[in-house]
Amino acid sequence: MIEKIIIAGSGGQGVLTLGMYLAQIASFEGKNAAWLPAYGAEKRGGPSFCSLIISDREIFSPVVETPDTLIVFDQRALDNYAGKAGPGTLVIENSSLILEDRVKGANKLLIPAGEIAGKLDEIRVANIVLAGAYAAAKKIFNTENAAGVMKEMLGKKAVKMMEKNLAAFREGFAFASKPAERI
Amino acid sequence: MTTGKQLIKGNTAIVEAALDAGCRFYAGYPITPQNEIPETMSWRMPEEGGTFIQAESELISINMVFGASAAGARAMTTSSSPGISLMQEGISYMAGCELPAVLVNVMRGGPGLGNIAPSQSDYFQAVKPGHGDFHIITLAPHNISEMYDYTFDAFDLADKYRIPVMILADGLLGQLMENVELDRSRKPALLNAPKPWALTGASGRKGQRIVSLLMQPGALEKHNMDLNEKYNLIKKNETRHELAGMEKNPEYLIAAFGTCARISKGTMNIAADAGIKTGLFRPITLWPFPYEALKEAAKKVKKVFVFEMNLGQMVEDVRLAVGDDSKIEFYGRPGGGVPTAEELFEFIRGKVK
Repeated sequence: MIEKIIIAGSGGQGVLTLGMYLAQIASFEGKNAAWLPAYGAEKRGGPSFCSLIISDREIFSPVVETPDTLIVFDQRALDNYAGKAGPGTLVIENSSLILEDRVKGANKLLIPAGEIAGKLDEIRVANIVLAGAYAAAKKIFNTENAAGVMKEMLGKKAVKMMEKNLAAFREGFAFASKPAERI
Repeated sequence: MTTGKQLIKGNTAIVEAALDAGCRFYAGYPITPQNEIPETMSWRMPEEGGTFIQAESELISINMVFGASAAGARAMTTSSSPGISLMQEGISYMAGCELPAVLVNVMRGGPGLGNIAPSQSDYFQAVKPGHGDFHIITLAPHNISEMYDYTFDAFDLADKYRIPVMILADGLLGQLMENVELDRSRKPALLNAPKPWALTGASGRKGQRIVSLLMQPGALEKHNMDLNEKYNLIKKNETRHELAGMEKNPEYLIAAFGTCARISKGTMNIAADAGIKTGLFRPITLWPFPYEALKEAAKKVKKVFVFEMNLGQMVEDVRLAVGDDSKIEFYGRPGGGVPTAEELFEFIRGKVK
C-alpha cells in the first residue's frame, strides 16, 4: 500500500504535529513513513504545510504531487491546496474555519474540528480531532495503537494532556464514522 | 516503538551521528535549511559534556573548528550554501595544515542568497573547494540512515587521513523525517588513536607548530607532493559508489547523487513498468569520484542519463568517466526545483524513442 497525504493550515494549529502523529502510528505498525514540512518563515498564523507518505514499500521521492488525502485546517489552506486534489483524493476539511467550500465533486469529509475541540474546552486538540476523522475515513491504522503512540509523543505532557487528546481522537473518529456526514 | 525504528529528521540524525562518533566540539551559525543541527547541538552537545558555540559568523565557526582540531578535538561545523562559501578560506587553511574536521553543507538554491529550497547547487564548491591545490573528501547521503552513517564515518575518515570531510546534503534531506533503524552500537575506530601532531602543550616534549605558510624555497612544492600522495591513497582506498539494477542487463544507466538518486530509484520502477530497463549509478564519494566504476558500468549501456538539481555540475565528472559525450543525456532542475520521478521518466522516454 501507499498513502500520500498533504496537510495544510496555519502556524499554531498543530499542522506539522498532526503529520508527525500519523507518521508515528505508521512507524509503530511497521510501515515506512516519510514526513516533509514546508520550512523557512514559519510563524504563528502564517501558512503551515507538511506532506506525509506512508507505505509498506521503500519510499523514493518524498514529495507529494497529487495526494490520496488532503487535510485542510482553514479557508486559506483550502484555497491554496484545493488544486492539488485529484479525482481520487479524499478532502478532509475543518469546517469550523471554512466558509466557502471550493472543492467540487471530490470525495469530501466536512468536520467541525474546531467546535468539537471547543466543546472539550481545549482548542489545541482540533488537530487530533482531524487525526481521528482521518483514521475512521481511511482505515489504514489499527486504532488501538493511536493511544499508545499519543502517550509516547506527549511525553511529560501526557499527565495533563492525554485525556483531552484521546477524547479528541475518539470524537473525530465517531464523527467520521457516521455515513451521513460524508458528502 | 516496537519496530525498533525511530522517526528522525535528517538534520537531527547528523547531530546524533556526530555525538556517537565522539565529536565534542561544535561551532556554527544559523542558516536555513540546516537550523535543526545547531538547535539540537545547543542542548545535546552539553549533555555529552562537549562544547557548543553559536559563533558570530561562518568565518568564526570554521576558524574555531580549525583551533579545536589543532588541539586534537573531534570538531564539526555545519551550514548551507552561502555559509559554506564564507568558510572556504578556512577549509583551505585546514587542508594545508592537514587538520581533520567534519563539515556539513545542507544545500539550498543559489547563486547569492538564492532561496531556501533544496538544491544540488554546490557540487562544484564541494569537490573543488577553496584556493590552493588540494582536495577534501565529500560524501553524499541519499536517505536519513545515510545522513547518520556517513556523518559517523566522516570522523574516522578525517582522522585517518588528517583531512576535512564534507557531508553534502540538501534541504530535502535535512528537513525530511523518516522512520529508520539506526545502528548505534558502532564504535568510532580511531576515536582514541594518538594525535602526536596536535598542539597539546609542549611540556615534556619539543615544541611543534601547525602552519600552512611554507616560505622556504621548494618547501611548499614538497608539501603539495606529499598531500598528493595522500590524495592518491584516498582515491585507492575510499572511493565509494552504489550500482543498482545491473543484474537485469539494462540498456540505459542513470547517474545521480543524493536526493536526485533517490528520486531516480522511483523513475527506474516507472521505466521498468513501461518496458525500459535502467540501472542506477550513484556516487557516494563525490571526491574521490568513482571514475573507474562508472566507466565500466557505462560500457554496458547505450546511454547514460545524468540527473541533477542544478544545471549540470556532476555531469562534467560523468563525461570524464564515460569518455563518449554522444552517450550522455543531461536533465537538471536549478533554483530549488525538485523533479518528480515521472518527470525524469518522461525525459528518458523522449530520448529513447
